[in-house]
Order: sequence, then C-alpha cells, then structure tokens
Amino acid sequence: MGNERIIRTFILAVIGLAAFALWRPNSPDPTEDVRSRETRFFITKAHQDRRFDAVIYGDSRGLRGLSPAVIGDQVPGLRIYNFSWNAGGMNRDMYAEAEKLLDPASQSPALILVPTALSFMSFKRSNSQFNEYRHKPWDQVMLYRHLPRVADWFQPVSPSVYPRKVLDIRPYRELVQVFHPDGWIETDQTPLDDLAEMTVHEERLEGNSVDPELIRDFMAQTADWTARGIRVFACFLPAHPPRVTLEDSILGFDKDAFRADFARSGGIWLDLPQTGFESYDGSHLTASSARRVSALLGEALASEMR
Amino acid sequence: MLFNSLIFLVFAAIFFGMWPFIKPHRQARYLLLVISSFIFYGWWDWRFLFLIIASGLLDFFAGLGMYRRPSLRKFYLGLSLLGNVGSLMLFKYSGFFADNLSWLLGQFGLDVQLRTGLPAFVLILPVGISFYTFQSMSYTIDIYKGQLKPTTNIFHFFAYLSMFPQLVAGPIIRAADLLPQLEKENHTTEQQRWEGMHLIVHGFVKKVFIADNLAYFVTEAFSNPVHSPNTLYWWVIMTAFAFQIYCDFSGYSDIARGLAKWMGYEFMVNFNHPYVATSLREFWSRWHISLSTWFRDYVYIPLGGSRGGELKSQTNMWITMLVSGFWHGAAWNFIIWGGLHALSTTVERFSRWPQRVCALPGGRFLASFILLVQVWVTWVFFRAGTLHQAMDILGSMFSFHGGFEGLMYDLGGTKLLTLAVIIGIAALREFWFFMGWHEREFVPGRWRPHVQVTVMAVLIVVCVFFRGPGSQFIYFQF
Repeated sequence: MGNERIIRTFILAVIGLAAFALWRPNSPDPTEDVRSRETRFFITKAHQDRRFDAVIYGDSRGLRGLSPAVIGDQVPGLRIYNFSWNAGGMNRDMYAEAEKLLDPASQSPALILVPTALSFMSFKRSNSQFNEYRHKPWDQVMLYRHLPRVADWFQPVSPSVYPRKVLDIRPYRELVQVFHPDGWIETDQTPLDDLAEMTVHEERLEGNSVDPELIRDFMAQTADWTARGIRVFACFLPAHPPRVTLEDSILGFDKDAFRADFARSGGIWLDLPQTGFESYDGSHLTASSARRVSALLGEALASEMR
Repeated sequence: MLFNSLIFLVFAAIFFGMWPFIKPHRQARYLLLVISSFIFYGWWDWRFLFLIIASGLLDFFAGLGMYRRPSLRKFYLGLSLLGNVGSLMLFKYSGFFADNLSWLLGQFGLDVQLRTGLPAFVLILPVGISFYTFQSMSYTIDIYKGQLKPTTNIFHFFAYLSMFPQLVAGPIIRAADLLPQLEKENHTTEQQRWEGMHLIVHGFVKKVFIADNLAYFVTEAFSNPVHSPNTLYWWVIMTAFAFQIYCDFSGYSDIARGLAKWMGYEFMVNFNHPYVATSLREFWSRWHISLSTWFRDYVYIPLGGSRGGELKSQTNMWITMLVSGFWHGAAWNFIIWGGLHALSTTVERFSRWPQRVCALPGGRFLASFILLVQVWVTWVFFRAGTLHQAMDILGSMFSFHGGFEGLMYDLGGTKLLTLAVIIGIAALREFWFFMGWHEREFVPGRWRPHVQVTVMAVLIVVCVFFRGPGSQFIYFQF
C-alpha cells in the first residue's frame, strides 16, 4: 500500500510538474515573469569571466542608464561592460571587482564611474546585491549559467499569482525589463512617475549624509588607477532634477567640489546634460533616454580617447 | 549541504540507493552512515570536520574511561565538558567575550581591541556546532549518571553523533534513544515509508514555500538601513518572521525525521504547533522540544529544578532561560530574548493569567492571542542585528504611527497580498490543529488514499514552483 502510494505520488507529481511548466500562469506583474532571466543576469555579472577594455561601475542609475552597446557604437572596437548594481556603493571592494574585469592585455583600459550621492552612503559598503549573487550556492550558479533552459522551466511563481488574477490586481506601475548580456538592464515603466515616492524618499533620507571617507577613497583609487595607466572617467547621469537636488542637499553632496577633486586626482570628467531626459520613476532613465545618454557618453568618450 | 539544494538530491539518491544493500551488515551500516554524514557536513567546509572528530573522540574515550574506571568518573566527565564547552567558547563565543572585555577595559581608559588579536579561524562559526556538541555532551553525562552504557564501537558512536539528517540543526537526539536503534537492522514498513515521505514533503512545504517566501520580506525589512516608523508594518513583519522561523526550523526537523524514517529510525518530535499554546509554559513544551528537554535535564534539574521552594525554582528557571538565550547566539540580543521569556514565565507563574483568561468564554483564543503578542515582541530581539535596531522596531511597534497607507507604501498591494496568502496558509495549518480537526472528518474513507496521494503530489508541485528566494536554514548559525 505505502510503496504504491509513493509511486503514484511521484508519477502524479511528475505529470503535475510538466503540466505546470507548460501552462504556467503569467503574472499580472511582468517583473515576476523574468525572474529567472534576472537571476541569470546577475549571477553572470557576479561571476563574469570575460575581460574588457572598459568597465562601467555605478548604482542602479548606471545599471539602467548606460548601454555598452550604444556607447560602443561611438567607440568602435572598444569592449565595454556595465558592471553596475542595484544599490551599488562606491567603495574599495567594488573598485577591485570592477578592475578584475579589465583585460590586462588591453591597449586602453578604462573605468567609467557613475557616482551618485546615494552611492557614497556608509551602508552601501555592504554591496548587498553583488554579495548576494557572488555567494549563491555553486549548484545554482551552474544551473543558471550552464542550463538556462532548465532554470527557465523551473522558474518560481509568486504564491499570490492566482488571487491577483482572480481579483484583477495589477501593479500600479508596470515595469518592463530587458536584460542585456553586456550588463545593461533596459527598463521602461507604465505610467511614468517622476515624482514617485518623493515625500517618503525625503523622509527616509533625512538625517543621513555622504561618507567623506568613501569620497576620499574614490579620489585615492582614481589616482592609483591613473598612476597604473588605467584611464578613469566619471560622469553624473541625469535623473529627475528635483529628486537629484533633494538627495544632494539632504546628503550634503557637493558636486562641484567633487568634480574638481576628481580632476585633481587624474580622472577625466565627462560632462553630460542633466536635463531633457525622461525618467520613469524620478531616479532611473527610460530605455530611450538611456540610449540617448549612452550615445552622448560614447561621443564624449571617443573624443577623450582620440 | 542544504536539504533544499540540487546536490542534496544527488546525495540522497546515492545514499538511499546503497542503504538497502548495506544496512543488513552492521559494521558497513555504521561506516556508510559516518562517511555519508562526513561528506554531507564537509560539503560546507571540510576543515571543520576535524572539530566533530575531535569532539567525538574525546567523548567516546571519556565514556569508555568512565565505565571502565568508575573512580575517575568525575575526571573524565570534566574532561568531556571542558572539551565541548571549550570548543563552543572558542568558536562561538570568543568574539563576543573579546568585544565585551574590550568595552569593559575601555571604561577604565584602556583602548584594547581584543577581537583583532583573535585568530581568524575562531571567528568562523562552524555550522551546527551547538547541536552536535550538546548531543555529544549528553552522551558522557548520561554515562556519568549511570543511565547509559557506552558503546565500544567507535563507528557506532560516530554514526550516532554525526548522523546527517540531524547533524547541523537537530533535533538533538539522546544517545539512549539512537544508539540502540542503530545497532539493529530496522526494516521499514510501507506505512513508515509513507509517513517518512509525508514528513519530508510537509517539511519542504514549510521551508521552501512558507519560510523562504517570508524570508524575502523579513530580510528586506531588517536590512533596510532606512527604518520605517509604521506600526502596522512592523507587526506584519514580525508576524512574517514568527512564521518564517517556525516553518524554517520545524521544516528542517520534519525533513530530518522523514529521512530517518526512511532509514528505519525514529527521531523525537521537535515542534508540536507552538503557536496554538495558551501559555508560555505550554509554548516551551511545544517549541524546539529536543533543546527544551535538554536544558531541563542537563541544566534546570541539576541546578535543583523546582525543589527547594519558589525562589530557588524561579532562580533556576531564569538561569536556564538565560543560558538558552546565549546558546542561540553570542550577542546580548539573545540573552535579552531569554531574559524576556524568563520574565514572562515568572509573571505567568504568579499571576496565573492563562488559567484565568482561559476560564472566560472564548478565553482560549484570547489567551493564545496574548501569548502570541508576547512571543512576537521577544522575536524582535532574536531577529534584530543590534540592540539599537531592536529598540527602534519596538518603538515603532508601540508608537501607533501611520496606518494602512503607510503599510501600502512600505509593502505595496502585491507584496501585501503575497504576505497575506503565505501567512494565511501558515496560520490555517495552526488553526486546523488548534481546532482539533482531522482529514477523516472531511474525506470519506474510501477516497482518503486517493486524496492523500493527490495532495502530496500537489504539494511537491507547490514546493518546486512556488518556492521562495531564501535558501539557508536559520538555525544553521546556532
């Protein structure tokens, strides 16, 4: 009786698994349907074994705002990778990780840093997202890197997917993400909401500030890279101007002084226009704006590299 | 190696493929258990296998020494306790003592950072050290008390000490229970195998469906450096954590018991629906039973137990609770957690509120509710990274700041619904038990086997497709 029940259970479970995989419900929230691709994207990024001529490093603004392919169109032949992370912090651990991605044989190794006031907050030292993916169990790393179809097949579904479908609960904002192998996440949102969470953002940032030690490290690292023949570029990416002003003023981030210090440390500042772009949530650029700003960055880079 | 990893599936398939052929031969059975358990543990970090081996060798020979030379019993017991408590102190508590001593010296103007002087390896907490050292200690203490005859077969002993299903997170099995079971070739009945599968599948549901899905929200709340002041939010998060830790830990115990059943062994029940308790005393008779009874038998009773009057009994209970808190983690948070449980137990003892409340109409529900509020509040200290964070969270929980709108901001409609679904399912399991319902009341006899098979298959699908993003078991760190 017992073995028969066990065997029947396994047979039924296998049928159930296959049926579910074939007819899995689409989530009302598109971000949930790309979880497997997202995991693969970040696992690949955390375990990247390819090497490049230029590496972009920043936080989520850089991650969603800069397309290496578009930049590369302006600088043909330059192998570029976007190594930015959500909640990415400017700190020595991440500088070392970014540098590891540079090809030692490259003729023109370069780092393109995309700092924000938020990226200099002390708690960003934990590099939470990078560490989460870097320390995934090896079987998961193997699965996502080498058996992506299997990972897609068994991609988890949110436990609330059926109630949400029945109740027709859709996210207020629908985020559509495309994960590019060059490290860029092309992102769009419907509807656009530049003022999203401004009040709460202000409330939560109150009492915090940029960490001066992290800014000193940034300059010291720039000087060190420059001395070793690595060209260091930096730029501020545009976002919704009131949001950026809010962050800079609450966190005490003096951009002019920062730019001047950076130039003194040997870095090359790339000036990008800060207005005229579209942000979907006040912080991150839409896909079309990201392409435009990437093209501008590519032009500036090309002119500096000539 | 984690139960919820792909590699464990491969490991289990190989082990249970070999087990029926090996188990008739006693020595080979012990060897297979020991080697498999060492592979299971060594997968995490093989270097710390030496710690288990050293701890085991010490207790094996101490046990033999006590039995063969009774006049030196105290000496051998002392040696065993020194070795086990010493390794716990070194690997689990040295950082804590170094930090506190540094702080104390700082109060006298001496700026000494003792932690930096510690060798790096003692700052790595070996997985499951608190479990296997307690299991090992109980062996020698039982021999000392004359309650157990030591085994003379070293593989028999190590099969008991390192048995992989319960090695890293319990249940803490007593030698008197497991050593005799290991000696025999236990044939499993078909019903036992079915029950084993039932435990394994339900354990996985608790772990990967409930605990891992809740882990996402709890981790996000506790690791967010920008503290939410919303009262409702923190009560929701603490409810999520209460079910996360319960399902994470009891899920592990269920899987361990199920695997043991498949081998033909019985492990004690470790969790018996603790959240249906109506008093703290009852809660502790249902939560982590193998540890509670360990502390009762090896700490509380040797201290004098309830003999010697109320004051002595309360003092012993307080010591036991504080030590139990410290066992969970080398931080003041855990000691305070133990202290709060002791305080609530004392209040309960003298006010007899559970009995009074339970006597009211609907009092059982009310008593259970009051207990849960107490338990939720103490969990704050258990989960918080620092005392400061714990106080911030408690401040928010009782500030009555913000309402549903704030909750929607912190979580959003989708997340809130997801939380509601998971907590609802977890709570329903407990409510089902609280009400004393049984499937036979709902399913006619002839349909029951079919319903059981279908439910089990559905649960497997749920584990695979509705699994959450968490992975590690919480109690591994203790």
